[in-house]
Amino acid sequence: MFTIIRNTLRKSRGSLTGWGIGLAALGILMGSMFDLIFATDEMMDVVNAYAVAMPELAVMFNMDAMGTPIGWLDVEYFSFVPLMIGLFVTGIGANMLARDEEDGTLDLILAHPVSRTSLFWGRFLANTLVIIVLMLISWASLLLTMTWSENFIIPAFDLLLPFISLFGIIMFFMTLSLLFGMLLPARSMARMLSGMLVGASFFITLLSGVVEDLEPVADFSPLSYLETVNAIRDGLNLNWFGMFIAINLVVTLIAWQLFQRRDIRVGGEGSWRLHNLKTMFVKK
Amino acid sequence: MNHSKAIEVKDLVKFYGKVKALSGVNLEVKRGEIYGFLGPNGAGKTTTIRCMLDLIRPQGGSISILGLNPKAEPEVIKARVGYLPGELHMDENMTAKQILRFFNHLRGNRSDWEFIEELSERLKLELKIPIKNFSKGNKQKVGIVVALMHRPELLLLDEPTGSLDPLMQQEVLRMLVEARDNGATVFMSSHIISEVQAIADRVAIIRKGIIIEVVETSALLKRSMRKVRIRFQQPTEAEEIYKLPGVELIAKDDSMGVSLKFEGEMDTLIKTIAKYPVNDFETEYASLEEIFLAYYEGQEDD
Repeated sequence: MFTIIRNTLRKSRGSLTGWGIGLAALGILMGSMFDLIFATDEMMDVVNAYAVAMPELAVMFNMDAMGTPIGWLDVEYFSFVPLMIGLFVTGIGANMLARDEEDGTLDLILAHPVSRTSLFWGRFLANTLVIIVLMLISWASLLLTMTWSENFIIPAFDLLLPFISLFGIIMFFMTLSLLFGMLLPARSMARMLSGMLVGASFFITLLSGVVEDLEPVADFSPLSYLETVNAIRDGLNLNWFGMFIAINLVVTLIAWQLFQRRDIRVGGEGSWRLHNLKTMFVKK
Repeated sequence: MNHSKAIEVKDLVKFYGKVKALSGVNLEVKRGEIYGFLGPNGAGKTTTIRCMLDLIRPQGGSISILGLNPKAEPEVIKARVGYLPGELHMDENMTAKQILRFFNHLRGNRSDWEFIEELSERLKLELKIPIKNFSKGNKQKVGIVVALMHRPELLLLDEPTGSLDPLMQQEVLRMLVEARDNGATVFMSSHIISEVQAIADRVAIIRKGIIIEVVETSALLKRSMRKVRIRFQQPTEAEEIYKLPGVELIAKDDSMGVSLKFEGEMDTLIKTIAKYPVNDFETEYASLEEIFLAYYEGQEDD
């Protein structure tokens, strides 16, 4: 399994570097901008004017809290970073095994003395590690900003809590995409479907603050459970986090079972037959 | 299942959806032999091999590889088997050396690196070049080294010489004979009859998911159908040739040229043709499809 993990990490170097630099730059930019906003009364006046003129918009983006570091991050950082990373992890999930199968490289790998279980969990652990590293880079880049910022100050552990909450949610999107990769005939479809779910979750969560009719739907939207200000003020809701970890585990176990029982294709995309579902719990 | 057999397949059935790819394949391969697995494209050769490695699961029948069940102990079997897929794909961004190291790691570093270099040198394989810059033939060479590098007990090779030039084909066939001489069993599929005839001890012929025949290679050689073209130096009525057993006259191009189908030992034919002044003489093996066509025409006539 160690060889699989190492090989997977090696293949992820490019995306890890690219996304790592991007997220670090974003973190530093957002952290640094807070001083600018905080030190300029006119800017706060503009924000307050928004709140009066467009109260719905103010509620949607939680503008009341913009004057505090975490409030600022909530509005300017955590409002769109989950969408970005969510879309990225759907690619990771869909590609995890389906890409090798479509490329035809899985055939030769599985002809070696490596079990499907080792391959699956080796890849899963390596990709989870990539996501954790990206979360830590994002967190560390914001911490780094605090070394020169006069006003952007959040205790390191407190700042970690929103990222822990985000991790549980984006792992859900990753595992879901992995599952779709095992169920659907092509990884592009798996990626597209899970990407659509990320987008739907983002917009439903965003709009549910102003459109009352969307509130019941938002209960089923994973991003509604992202904790930022609340996590720092009241502590992380461990029930929600535990729920996501449990769901992620179940989804991953189903994907693992599907991979165990899968006929490995020589290459290319598969067909639309969903016979895997039928045979999932039937021993061949 | 008999452990003296390297491969034992009984009544193997495999469906792809509603399409029946294997309709009850039976095979027995002895340890230490080179076994040719002949069949036209789509006959079920690759499906049979992939079932042996537990890459796909059959709906019926049983398989024993080196006395073990591939479904129950796939990793134990794969540790003792070398495999070359018919459609070889590798990580294009890695060099040949990185690929070989990766697969060696997957095998627990069992391979002797000097042996890997020796195999690479024999195949004139440049190890420092990324796979994406390799021709199809060079990729095939990497696959052959991957299959052979851990000196496996059993080699499962799906069309091993496809994409190679004739000189390299000969080198690969020599390597397989050496592996057999060192105790390995070689199971190789092909749709090229001459390649299998060159080294195989026995040959199984598969068509439409059924083994239609298992023969000693020597018997296959005697029976192999060839196409023969003769160009005489002058207009010739060579009735004696056309009456030879196994000869079928296909066409007379003109009074000086004839095309024949021939099945049997060449010696008699050549000696008979030699009685006439000949300008040109060409012979080639019939394709498997032509052989099968002839075989089935015979069966349908019966």
